[in-house]
Amino acid sequence: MIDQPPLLHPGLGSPREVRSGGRNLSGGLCQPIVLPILFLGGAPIIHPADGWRQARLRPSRLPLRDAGAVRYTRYFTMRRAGLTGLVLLVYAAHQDVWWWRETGPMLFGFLPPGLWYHVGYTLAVSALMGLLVWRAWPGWLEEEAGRHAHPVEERDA
Amino acid sequence: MIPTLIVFAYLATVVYIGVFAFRHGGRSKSAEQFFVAGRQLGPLVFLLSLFGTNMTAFAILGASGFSFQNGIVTYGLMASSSALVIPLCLFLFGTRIWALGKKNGYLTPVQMYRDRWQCGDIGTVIFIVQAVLLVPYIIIGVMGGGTALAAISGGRIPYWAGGAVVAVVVMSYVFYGGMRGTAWVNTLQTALFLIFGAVAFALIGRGMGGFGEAVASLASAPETRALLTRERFTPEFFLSYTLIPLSSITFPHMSIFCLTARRMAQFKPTVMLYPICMVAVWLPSVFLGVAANHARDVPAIERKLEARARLAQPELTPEQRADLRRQAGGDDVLLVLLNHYAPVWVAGVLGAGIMAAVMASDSQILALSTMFTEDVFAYYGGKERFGEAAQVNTGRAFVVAVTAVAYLIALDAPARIFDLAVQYAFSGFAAMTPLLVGALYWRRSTRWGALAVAVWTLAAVAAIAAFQAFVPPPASGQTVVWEIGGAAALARTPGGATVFGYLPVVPMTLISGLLMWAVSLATRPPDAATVARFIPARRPRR
Repeated sequence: MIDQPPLLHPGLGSPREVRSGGRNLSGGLCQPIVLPILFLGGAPIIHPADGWRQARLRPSRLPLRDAGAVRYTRYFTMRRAGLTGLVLLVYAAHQDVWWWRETGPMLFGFLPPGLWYHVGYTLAVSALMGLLVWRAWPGWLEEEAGRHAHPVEERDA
Repeated sequence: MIPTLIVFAYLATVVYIGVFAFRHGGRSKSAEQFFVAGRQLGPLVFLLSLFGTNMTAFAILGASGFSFQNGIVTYGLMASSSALVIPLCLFLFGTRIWALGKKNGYLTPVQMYRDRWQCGDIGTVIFIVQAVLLVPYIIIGVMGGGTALAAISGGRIPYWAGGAVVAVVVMSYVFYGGMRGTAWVNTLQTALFLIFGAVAFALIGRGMGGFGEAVASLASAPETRALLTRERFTPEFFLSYTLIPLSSITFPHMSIFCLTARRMAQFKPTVMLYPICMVAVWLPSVFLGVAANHARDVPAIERKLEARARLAQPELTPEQRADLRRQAGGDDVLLVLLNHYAPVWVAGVLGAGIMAAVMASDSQILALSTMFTEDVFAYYGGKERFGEAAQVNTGRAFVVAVTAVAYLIALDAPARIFDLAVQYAFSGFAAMTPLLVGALYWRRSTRWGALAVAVWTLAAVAAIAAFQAFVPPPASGQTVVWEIGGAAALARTPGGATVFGYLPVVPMTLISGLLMWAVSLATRPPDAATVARFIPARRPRR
C-alpha cells in the first residue's frame, strides 16, 4: 500500500515519475495501467489544498508531464469526493422513515424491521470504515510525527 | 448470595490489576507514564480499552432501561448512529490528535488548544467547561454501580453501599495504575461484557421460552405494539440523536485515550471493528429490554409494568408521578431478568460482566485528574516549583477527591442514568465539536472563536438545566412554552426539552459552529507559523 502521494505541482514532477523511480512514464499507454493499480493499491486521497487547486487546471494546456500530474490529482480529488459522498449517503440511510410504524416483516421470527435494518446498517458501516481505512488512510501523519517526535521519557525500573 | 460473592471476586481482581500495573510502570514518577501509559499501548489493548472507555453504565443499563420503556427505537437512536459517527471521528480527529500529541508531547486536549491558538487563559476556560461537563458522566458510573450491586444482591446491598463499593474500587486501581492500569482493566471489562451480551441473550431467550412467542405477544397487544416500532418518537427526534455521538471524540477521556497508542496504525482495527463491537453489546441490551415487557411472570417486572400503567392516570400529583416514574424505571431490568432466568452462578458471572460495564467511569476520573494536573497545576507553575513527582501525586489526590464528590452527588441524583447522561454531558460535548474542527482542519480559526464556543456551550447547558428545573414536565405529550408562527419553538417534554421538535443538541451544535466561524472571521487571524505546525500547507514529500 502506498502511504502518501507525492506533491503535485506543475514543475515538481508527476506522480508517475515519482512512483517509477524517476523514469518518465508519461504517455497514453501507461495511464490506463498505472491508475487502476494505484486505485486498487489504496493510494490515499490528495490534500485538499493541492487537489482543488490542481483540479481547475486543464491538462491539455500543460506539458505532458504536468498533464499527467493534473489527471492524477483529479483522480484523487474525485475519489475524495466519492468517499465523502458515500459517507453522507450512509448517514442519510440512517433515517429509515419508510417503516416507522411497521412491525413486520420480522427477521428470524423475532427481530422487527426497525431493529434488523439498523443491525444491518451497523455492519454496513463497518464495511464503510474498512473502505476508508483502505483508501484514505492518512499514513503521512504518522511518518511526520515519527520524524519530529517528542522524546518519550524512559520508564523507571 | 453466590452472585454477590462472584461480583466481589471480580472487584478484587480489578483492584489487583491496578496494583499490578503500579508495579509495572505505574510506579514511575513520569507524568507521561502515569497519565498516558508512556504512549505505549499495543493494538489489542488499545481497541478493547477504547471501546470499554466509551461503553459505560449508559450502554448496558441505560440502554436496556430505555428500551424497556420506549422499545426498539433505542438501538437506532444511539447504537447505529454511534457506530457511524464514533469511528468516523476517530478516523478524522483521533489520528490527528495522536500525531500532534506524539510530535509535541501533549497529554490533554487543552494543551493542544493552548498551543494551537496561543491562548493561556482561554485554555483555562475550556478546561473549566470540560470539567463541569465531565462530572455528570462520572456520576453515571457511580449511580450505575449502586444500581447494579443492589440488583445483583437482591437488595441486600443498598444503593448507597453499592455506589460506595464501586467508587472505592475504581478509585483504587486508577490511583495505583494510572492509565496503564485503567487500560488493562478496561480490556478485561470489554472482553467480559462482549461475552456477557451473547450469553445473557441465549439464557434469557431460553428461559422465556423463545423470543418469537414474546415478540408475537408484544405485537398483538395494543399497549405494547408501539415498542416494536418507532412511532413514539418523531423523525426529528431520531435525527437529533445522530449528533449526540459527536461528543465521543470531544470527551477529554477519549481525546486523551487517542494519545496512548504506540502507533497510529493501531487506529485501523479500532475504526473498522468498533461498529461490530457496538452490535455485540447493544443488540442484546436493547432487545432484552424490550422483551422484558413480556416477562410478567417475574414479580419485579410486573411491579414496574403496574407502575407504568398507573402513570397514565391524569389525576396524579407531581410527587406521585415522580415516585411512579422511579418505580417504573428500567435501569435494573437486565439484572432482574438474569436473576430470574439464569442459573445462580451464571447470574453471578454475568453480573460481573455488567459491573465491568458500569465501572467504565475510571477513564473519566483519570482524565479529569490529568487535566487538572497538566492544565492547571503544571501550567500555572506547580510542576516547576514542586517537580514532576509532586505533579503525579497531585493527580492521585485529585482522583480521590473527584471520586468522593461524584459519590456524594450520586446519592441524591434524581434523574435516571440515561437522561442525565444525554441531557448534560453528551449534548455539551457534542456542541464543543467545532473546537476540534477549527483546531485541526480550519487555518483561519482563532482563539476568540474557541472562547465563543466554550462560553456558548456552558451557557446553553446551564439554560437547559434551568429550563427543566423551572418548567415541570407534562404527564405525556409536550408543554409548549414559546410558539413562533404556530410552530413549537420551545417545548417541555416528559424527558427533557425540544427546540422546533429537535433535541437541544441540534441548535447547540449548529450555533456553536456558527460562532466559531463568525467570531474567527471577525478577529485577527492566527500566526501563520503556528498554524503550519497543526495544519501543514501540504503533505511532506516522501
